[in-house]
Amino acid sequence: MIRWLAWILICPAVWSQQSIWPASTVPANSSFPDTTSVELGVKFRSDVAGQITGIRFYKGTGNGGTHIGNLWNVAGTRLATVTFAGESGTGWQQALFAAPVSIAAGTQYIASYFAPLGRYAANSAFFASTGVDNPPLHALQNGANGGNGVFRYTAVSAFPTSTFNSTNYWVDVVFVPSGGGGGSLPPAPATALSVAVH
Amino acid sequence: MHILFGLLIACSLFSSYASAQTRTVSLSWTASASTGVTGYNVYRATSAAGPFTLLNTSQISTTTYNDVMAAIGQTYTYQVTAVAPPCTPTTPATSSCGESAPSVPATTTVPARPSITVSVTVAVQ
Repeated sequence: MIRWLAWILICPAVWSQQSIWPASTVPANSSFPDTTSVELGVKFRSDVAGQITGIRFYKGTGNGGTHIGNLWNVAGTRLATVTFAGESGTGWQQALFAAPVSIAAGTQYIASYFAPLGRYAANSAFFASTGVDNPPLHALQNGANGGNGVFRYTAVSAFPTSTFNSTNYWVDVVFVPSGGGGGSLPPAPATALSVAVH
Repeated sequence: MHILFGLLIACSLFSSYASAQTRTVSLSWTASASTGVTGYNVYRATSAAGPFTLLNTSQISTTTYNDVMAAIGQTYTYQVTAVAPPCTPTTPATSSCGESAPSVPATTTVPARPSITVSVTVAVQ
């Protein structure tokens, strides 16, 4: 009886969390033989406003060291960061930010993680002709937003900007949609930006 | 007295040297068409691919901004975003919230200052 009551209380919170890939997904290539320190990411957007509460990534054999999860806007500003703890040997890992980050609907963000020892999950040509749609979340296909996924060879965690062969590095988010019919449209961007040197 | 005079000259020369290495890049843009926009953020990068760094320390309430620390000879790419109040569950569905997509970027290379030649003629009588 107590167990049922606990599930009644917990399930709504669990159901409201969403990710691009389910926990049952296993990458075809879960451990790429590259041992270079690297930041790996995915460009994504949501159809609705909400909050990113954490970062997920798939960990294959040899992907060791201390992993750091990050959320960025397209300008490369780090919106939140978290250090993974208590990881399992392999499989999907998840770390939650100290404070959720509000994201706007229809706006691109980048989720990434830092893999100091490499050996990351990677499947090439993944985003070349299609994205991944798990509404309201979408991992973006190569296109107007540039290539996807993204990476950066770096000794410390940093904004990933490079792309190679549309490779999916199996990075994901934990997303909670806004409830109560909240506003969902980001403002229109500024236009006609001009610069002059004086 | 001579030491003080020397210090004044040294400070003056250093100040001139520092300002000679940087110039001001003036940015202007057309305001977001959305209502509820509270300000703008200006981002700068030394590569068009980023990463971009936020320049302003508080939201810009106008549609202009001066980057006073632009290094001569450096190429910069700028982007501007419009900012509305944070999205919350209670935000009305008709209101915009959060930060906009960045504007179309603008890039410039900061040229050296134009040189000025001053000729002084001294007549001895």
